[in-house]
Amino acid sequence: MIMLLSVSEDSAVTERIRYLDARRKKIISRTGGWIPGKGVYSHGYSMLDELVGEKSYFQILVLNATGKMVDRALADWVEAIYGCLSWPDPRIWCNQIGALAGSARTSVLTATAMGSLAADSRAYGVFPLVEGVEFIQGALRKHKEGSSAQSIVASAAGARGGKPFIMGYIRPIAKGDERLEVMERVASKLGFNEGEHLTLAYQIERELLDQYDEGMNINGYMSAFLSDQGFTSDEVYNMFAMLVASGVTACYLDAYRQDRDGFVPLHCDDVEYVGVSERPVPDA
Amino acid sequence: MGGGRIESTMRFFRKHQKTSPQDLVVAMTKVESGVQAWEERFPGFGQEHGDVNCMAVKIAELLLACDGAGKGLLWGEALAKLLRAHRIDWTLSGVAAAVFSDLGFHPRSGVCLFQLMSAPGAIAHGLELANKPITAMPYVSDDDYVIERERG
Repeated sequence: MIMLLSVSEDSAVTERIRYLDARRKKIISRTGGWIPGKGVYSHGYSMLDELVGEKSYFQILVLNATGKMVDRALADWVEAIYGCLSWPDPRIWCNQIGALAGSARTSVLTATAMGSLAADSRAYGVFPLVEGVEFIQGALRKHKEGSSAQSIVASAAGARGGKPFIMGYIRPIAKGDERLEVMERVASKLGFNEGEHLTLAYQIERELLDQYDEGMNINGYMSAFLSDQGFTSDEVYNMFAMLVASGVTACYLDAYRQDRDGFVPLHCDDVEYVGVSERPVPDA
Repeated sequence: MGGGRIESTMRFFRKHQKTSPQDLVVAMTKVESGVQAWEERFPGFGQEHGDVNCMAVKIAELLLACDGAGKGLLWGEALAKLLRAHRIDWTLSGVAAAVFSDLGFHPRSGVCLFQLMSAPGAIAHGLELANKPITAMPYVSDDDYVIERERG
């Protein structure tokens, strides 16, 4: 079979090469940068004249992650929820990596970076926020088209009618989420009203509680709250990239300051091997 | 590209390598144009810097000449031959994913293998600069640093 490159495909390649040539040895930034003698810029703001000392660190963090300059109240809410999502408990998966690293005497940066990477997991941490935000934004669209919270839960339960899996609801280890009440108090103190995503999230939670005795978790709450503030799933993921870092650092130091190799030491016979029996290596 | 594409590419090979590559390409020709759409439809194949990756194509060629070339690699080459008409060809992660599939690795194990295999290059660059001053790294001059975005 002989196929020739179409004219449009050929010109697309030429155009791409022209684009790359125009950028050769250059950095084109749409965010900002440091111009020595002139200033440092982030999304059009002069960092040293307008941001440092004038805006909070979390306003700058959200700006760098989304390009949006949020008001102080929202930045304070983001800061508060960072405090809810990074605990100094080494049983939490990312923190355990930090503790093991402390026990093995790595540096604090190595430990913190490794632990933070582990929170980019399908099951917990930062990455599931994408699914949490997409769920509640999709659910609100369906709700506006006439679907009730009950039918949204029912469709998540699937045809077999088992317990529904909805990101942001139900917790793997504990029931309920003690952080919601705290964050509701924080939001109220900062002057936030309940938006339409959050209202629907509470309705979904009510259905889950009635039918399955399961509630909303912190992912569900923050996904709905941040959707009400106009953020997309990608923006939320970007804003919380290093969410668990401080808890990992704490767990690293806890182990580092104790005896070397002292974090959960095990005997060989504490590990139960259930794999194949010892066997000869095949010749071929 | 890279390790992030290995898992989806291995799953692509697993799912399709018993089907006709020509049927897949013909079906795609009817609905989509544009490199990005083709890359999304055919993980492991695409462009880098606006054209095919000659190194990836060469590695595939060398492996295909080996006695142990597996079904995934052969199927991938049959697909690549059809995609070449659209200036799309093997990517490095595509070749790696085909070989890992042929060797019987699970897609998630393939990601780890790819990272291990990629590590020596990163280590070499790190060691090269380890005993040099920080100014040994290339630094783009202010004249070539362009801030496009205005305050939004």
